[in-house]
Amino acid sequence: MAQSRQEPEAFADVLRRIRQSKGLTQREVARAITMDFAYFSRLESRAFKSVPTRATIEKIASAMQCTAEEKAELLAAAGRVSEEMQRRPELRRLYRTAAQLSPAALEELVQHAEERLQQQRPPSRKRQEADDATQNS
Amino acid sequence: MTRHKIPDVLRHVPCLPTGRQGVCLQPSPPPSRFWRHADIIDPIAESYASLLQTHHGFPVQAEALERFLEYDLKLPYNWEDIAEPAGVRVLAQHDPSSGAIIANNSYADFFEAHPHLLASALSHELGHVVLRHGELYADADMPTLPGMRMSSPFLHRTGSLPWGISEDALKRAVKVAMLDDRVRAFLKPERFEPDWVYTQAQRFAAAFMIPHARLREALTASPEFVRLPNWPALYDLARRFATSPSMMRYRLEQLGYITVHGKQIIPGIRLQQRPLL
Repeated sequence: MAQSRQEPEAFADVLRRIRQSKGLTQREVARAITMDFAYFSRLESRAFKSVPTRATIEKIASAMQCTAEEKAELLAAAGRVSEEMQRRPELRRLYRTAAQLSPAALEELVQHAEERLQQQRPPSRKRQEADDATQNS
Repeated sequence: MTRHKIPDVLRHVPCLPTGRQGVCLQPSPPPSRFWRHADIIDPIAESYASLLQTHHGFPVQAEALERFLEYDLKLPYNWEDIAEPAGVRVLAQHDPSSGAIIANNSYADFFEAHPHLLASALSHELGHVVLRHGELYADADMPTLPGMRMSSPFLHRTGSLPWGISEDALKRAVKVAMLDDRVRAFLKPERFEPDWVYTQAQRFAAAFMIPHARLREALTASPEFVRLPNWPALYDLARRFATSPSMMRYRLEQLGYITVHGKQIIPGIRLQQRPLL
C-alpha cells in the first residue's frame, strides 16, 4: 500500500526514461516530429511545469516507436486521461498501476473487477436492453 | 567563497567501463592556468577520444558525440534558447552548477546544416566539464548580464573565431578590447570567462576531435601536404576528421605542423626539425 502512495513519476522523468531506454537523443525525437529542440528539452525538465497535449504526446510516442504500454504511461504521467479519470484520482492510480502489469495479470484483475461489479449491483438497464435486443434479433 | 562541487557526472568517469581494449579515461587535476597544454590537456582529451572511438567510431560525428555525452558519460545534455549579449555568439554553454552541457537552440537550423560545428561546440563544452572549470566559479551572486537569466559564466568573448563563422565586427571588437581599456570597461570582460579557461577548453576540443596519432597518420598519408601545406588540402583534412577547417588549422598550428602568415601556410617548426617523410 505504501508503495502506491509514492509521488507518481513526473512526466519529464517518464519521457526521459522511455527515450533513453530506446537509445535516442532529444534531437532525433524532436527532429522526427519537427518539434523545437528546446521545447522537447523542456519537456524532460522537471522545472517545466506544463505538460503537452494528448496529440503532442501521441506524436512523441509514435516518433519513439513506443509500445501501447509506454504510450499509456506517458499519457497517464501527463494526466492526459479521460475526463472521468481526471475527476477521480483513484481511477488514474488504478490505470497507472494496471498499465504496468503483465497482460495475464491485467486480465485477472479485470475479471476480478467484473465479478465484483456483478455482486455489487444488478445489471444496468442499458445492459438489459442490449441483451433484449440480441435476443429479439 | 563557496565553490562548485565537482558534478556527480564526473565522479564515475575514471572507472567507466571501457571495453576490451582497456581504454582508460584520465581524470583531470584541479584546474590551473599554468598547465602546459600538450602535457596535461592533450592526454586527457585523447583518452576521451579513444573511449568515444571504441563505442562510436571515428571521426567524431555530432550524433555519436551526443550519444557519448548522454549515454556513456551520463552528462545532462539539453537544448535551450540561450540569450546572447550583443556581439557575442554562444553556440553552447556549460552550466557548472548542474554539470549540464546546453546547446543553443537558436542555432538549431545552423547545427542541422553544419553538424560538425555542433560537434565542435559540444567538444568544447565537454572540455570545460572534464577539465573541471566549474570549480573556478562561485555558486551564488555570479555577475550576470543585465536582464538575462545567465546561469553560467561560460560565455566566450572570442567564441565565434574558432568555429569558422565570419563575424568581422566581433573580431575587431575583441581585438580593440584587448588594447583599449575604455573599450574593455565597456565590454565588461570580467563578465566573461578568462581567456585561459576558454583556450584550455578549445585545446581539449581540438585534441578530442583530432587526436595526434590519427593526425600524424593522415599527414603521413598525404606527403604533398607535408611538403607544401595548402588550404585545399587542409580543408580536405578537416573533412576527414569531420571537423571545421578552423579547428584543423588550430590543431596543426598548435602542434607545430604549420605556420600561417596571412593567407599563406608554410611547414611548421615540427616539420622543419623532424620531417615526417
